[in-house]
Amino acid sequence: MISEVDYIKEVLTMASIGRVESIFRMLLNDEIEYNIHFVGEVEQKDLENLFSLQSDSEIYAIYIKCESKDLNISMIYFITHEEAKKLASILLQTNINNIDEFAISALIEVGNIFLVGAFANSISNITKRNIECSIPGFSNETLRTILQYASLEQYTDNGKILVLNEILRCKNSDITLNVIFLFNTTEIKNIVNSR
Amino acid sequence: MKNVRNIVMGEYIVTDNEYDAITTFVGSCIALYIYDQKRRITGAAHIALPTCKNGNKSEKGKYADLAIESILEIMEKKGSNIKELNIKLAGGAQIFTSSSSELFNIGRNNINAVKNILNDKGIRIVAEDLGGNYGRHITFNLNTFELIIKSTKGVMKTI
Repeated sequence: MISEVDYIKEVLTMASIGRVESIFRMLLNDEIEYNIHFVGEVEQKDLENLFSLQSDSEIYAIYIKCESKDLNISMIYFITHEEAKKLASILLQTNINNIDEFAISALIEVGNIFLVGAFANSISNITKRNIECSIPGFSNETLRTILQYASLEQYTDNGKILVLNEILRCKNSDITLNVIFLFNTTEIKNIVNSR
Repeated sequence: MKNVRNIVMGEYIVTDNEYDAITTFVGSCIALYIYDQKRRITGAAHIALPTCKNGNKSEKGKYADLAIESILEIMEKKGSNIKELNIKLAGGAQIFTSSSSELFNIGRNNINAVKNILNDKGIRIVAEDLGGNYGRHITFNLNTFELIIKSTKGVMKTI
C-alpha cells in the first residue's frame, strides 16, 4: 500500500504539473520550475529547520486554511522582502519599492489564485473531497512565527506533522516562492487506507 | 543564566529548583507561568489552542483548559495553595490579518480562554503582555520571577 508521504507527494505533483504552471504563465508571463524540496513527517519543533532561510528572517507570507469533513490543510506561500517587491512590481506593472497596502493586496491575490485556484482545486479533485478554503491571511513576520501559527491545528499527539515544501522558481523574473503544505498525518493515513 | 529549560509548543512543566530560567517562543500561542513565590515552585506551559473539545486528551499542554488543570494539580501535590499563586502571561498575537476579523483569531481566542479559566479558579494575573501582531521570545527567570520579553520587532520589556 502507498504510504501517506508518497500519497501527498503524488497529489501535489499532479497539482503542480497542471494548473500551477498555467497560472504562473498567465499571471507573470513566466515559466516556472518547481521541485519538491521536502516531504515527510517532522516534529513541530523541527519545522523551521527544513528551510535554508534563518528562522528569525522576516518574510511575507500568505496563509490559506482548507477544510473538508475529514481533511484539514494549512497552505502557505512565503517570499523574502526583495522578492515581494519584484513580484508586486510585475503584478502591478510599476516599480514597487515599498510593500504598501496596494502591493500587499497583489501578493494576497496571487496566493488566492494559485493556492486555491490550482492546489486546493486539484487536491479536491484528486482526493474526491469538497474542500472549502478560507479567505487569505497576510503576515509580515519571522519564519518561525509563521510556521508556529500554521502548524497549530495540524500536529498530532506525537507532536509530528506531515509537511510538503515545494519551491517554485519563476525562470525569467528570478523570483522564488516557497510553498508549504501542512497536513495532519492521521487524516492522511485514513484517506490512504480508505482508497 | 546557566541552567535554562526551553519548552516547545504543547509542552508544560512544573519545577522547583531544577532550572534558572524557562524559555519559549510564542506567536498566537500563550506562554503561561504560574508561580508559588513562597515555595519557589513554578509551572509553565506553551498553550497552542483554547480548549480540548475534540482533541486528544493526552496532549495536555496543547490546550488552555488541560494545561492549566494539569499544572495546578501537580503544584497542589507539591504543596502549593491555589490562593497564593501568581500568574504571568505573554503571547496571543494575531499573526495573520485578513479582510474578515473572525478568521485567524486563534491568538484572541487563546487569551480569552486562558483568562476565563484563571478567573473561574480565582488565580491572580500579576502581569501580562498579550495581543499585538508579532512573535515573542520569552524568558522567565525562576530566581526573580521576572518575565523578559523580546519581540520579533526588537522591542524588549520586563514584566
